[in-house]
Amino acid sequence: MNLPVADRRSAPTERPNSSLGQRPGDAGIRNYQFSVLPFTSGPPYVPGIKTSDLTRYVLLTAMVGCGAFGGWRSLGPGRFWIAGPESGTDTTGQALLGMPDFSTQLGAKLRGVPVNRALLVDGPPFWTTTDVVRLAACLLVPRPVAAFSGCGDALRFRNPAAVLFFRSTPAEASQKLPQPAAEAFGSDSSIVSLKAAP
Amino acid sequence: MIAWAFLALLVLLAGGVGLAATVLPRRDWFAAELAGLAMPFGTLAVSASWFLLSFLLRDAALRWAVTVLCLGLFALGLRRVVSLQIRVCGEIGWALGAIWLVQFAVVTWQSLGCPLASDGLFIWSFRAKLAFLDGGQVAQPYFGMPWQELHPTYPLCYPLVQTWIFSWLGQTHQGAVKLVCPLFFASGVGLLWTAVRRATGNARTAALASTLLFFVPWAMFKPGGAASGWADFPLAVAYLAALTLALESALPTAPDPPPFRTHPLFWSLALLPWTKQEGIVLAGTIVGALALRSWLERCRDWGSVALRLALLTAAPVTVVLLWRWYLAVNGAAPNRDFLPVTMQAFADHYERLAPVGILLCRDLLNVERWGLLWPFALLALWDIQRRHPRESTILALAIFAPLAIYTGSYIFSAWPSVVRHANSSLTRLLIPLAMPALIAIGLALPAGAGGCRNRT
Repeated sequence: MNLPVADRRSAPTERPNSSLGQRPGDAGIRNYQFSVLPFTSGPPYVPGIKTSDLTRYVLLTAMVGCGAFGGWRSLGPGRFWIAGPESGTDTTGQALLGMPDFSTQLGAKLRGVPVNRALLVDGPPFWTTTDVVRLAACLLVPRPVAAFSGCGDALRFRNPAAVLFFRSTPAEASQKLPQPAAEAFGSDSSIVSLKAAP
Repeated sequence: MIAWAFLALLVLLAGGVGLAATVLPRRDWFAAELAGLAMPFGTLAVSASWFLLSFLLRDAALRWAVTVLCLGLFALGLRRVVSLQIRVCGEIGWALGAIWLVQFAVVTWQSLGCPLASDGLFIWSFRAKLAFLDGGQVAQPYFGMPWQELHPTYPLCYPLVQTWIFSWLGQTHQGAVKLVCPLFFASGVGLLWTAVRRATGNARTAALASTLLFFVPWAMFKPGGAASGWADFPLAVAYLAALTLALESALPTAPDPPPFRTHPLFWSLALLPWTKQEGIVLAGTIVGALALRSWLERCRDWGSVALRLALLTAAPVTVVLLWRWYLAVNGAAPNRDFLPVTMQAFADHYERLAPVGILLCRDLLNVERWGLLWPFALLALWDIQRRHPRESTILALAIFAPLAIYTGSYIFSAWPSVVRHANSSLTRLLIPLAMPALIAIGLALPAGAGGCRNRT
């Protein structure tokens, strides 16, 4: 049948059809089954579900299951209260329990910092410690500390008690931070430039 | 105090509903569609008007001017809403409704429980604070070289929405700005429902498909996801809005030439590059998909089609040109992440495609990051190509064209290690592409019983 385009669009038998997606005007061939997936014929194995749909339900369940697994693994600080610190990566657990050297080093560096309590987060030498610090921040720090250059965290919202700019070289560490940065982070935030841990 | 943040978001949503209702064509709408468009269109209305009016007004005057504009849009839109039919499909079922609520609650909990983190703080929220503290505009010095690490060339759409919230609060607040996160998630669910509902004619299939967004881990809880407060997920919602509108032209009831829903698409495409730089790629993809669809359908009135395509192209191009002009006027530091695109650079670095390609494949198949989204999207595209040929063409292009461009762009990476560069950004670039993948999977889902079955 050689119909013009507009007519072909409305021709009822032009498009393959199925019970999975009815088109208006296709009622005459409604029972035609089309699927590239298996289980396209035979009796219904699950009451109320067509066999042609069964594979799709199975795949859908797999997708939801895998998505839920990945989502659970991706949850933020809340997971510590639900599943305990061991639910994170091995490194996170070790860092939390063992308190490796970097904490001591940074703690020493921070003693001169004019804030009540301060914590540092991630940064190149400490990629895997973010969760630890988040947890600690949630538990300990009333007005958390934000950030440093490249990658950092503004922990638990609000105006941070201090903004710590982490410099990777002694030369950078000696530089003062521009004054407008203090205004941007909040007038009562301390701005601190820190030297990198070795 | 936090009530002011809710008020700011309410005005933003009013502006979005007003803009959507004003530009949507005269047909019956779904309530979910209008609700889904409210957030991206509200973001556009607030950020664009704030940016433009900030050249004339400052501080409270600027806030009130934007408020009046949003409420004016709402009043305009409301006249159309009450005069036309809005369809509310109530046959979705209590179980799916409950699942939506649980998902919304989890996203809200995560949004408010997780910090803004690196990009959220330094690229987006930082400039929002600068604009707030300086009366509405980011001051010129912050575009300069000392602030290059903060990517001053990134568009201001999302930061200005945060500035809008700060202006109502009267102070900066990193928690309040995260209130937008669950709203963008809800917007994504509504638009996903609309896209699948319109293509399949089945409300329950659409509802089932829209619950799947929550089960894409990286798009939800990882950096750039819905709960992160970064601009990647708003970009994904803007892409979904444009796709939903573009897919309307694929309906079998569409006349010849297809109505591209030029007005709402125009605003959606303008929003894409205004939200994030790669939005220009996504906007170009949608225009390209519409052109391809018209060509495949052998549209007879090519003059009209070309005119509409030119109009749609003009939206993102105008935004990009104006933004570049603004950056040039402010002497913005150039982006250091990429080399100039030249044949010489291509010849020198084309071998980078192999490691980036391997990285991409490993990422797409990472179950912990994406679940089974990408393999199933491929399967779904294959499955729907005969039942939904027009939709599958647009969706396939919407996934694969940006994917190819993103992968190819790393040839021109200026980072010492291209793998490190790709590791830092490639996964987030995939978040918007998850939207067409989810629509494709939705079209391949089993048709549930009941629902509003007639197609529009």
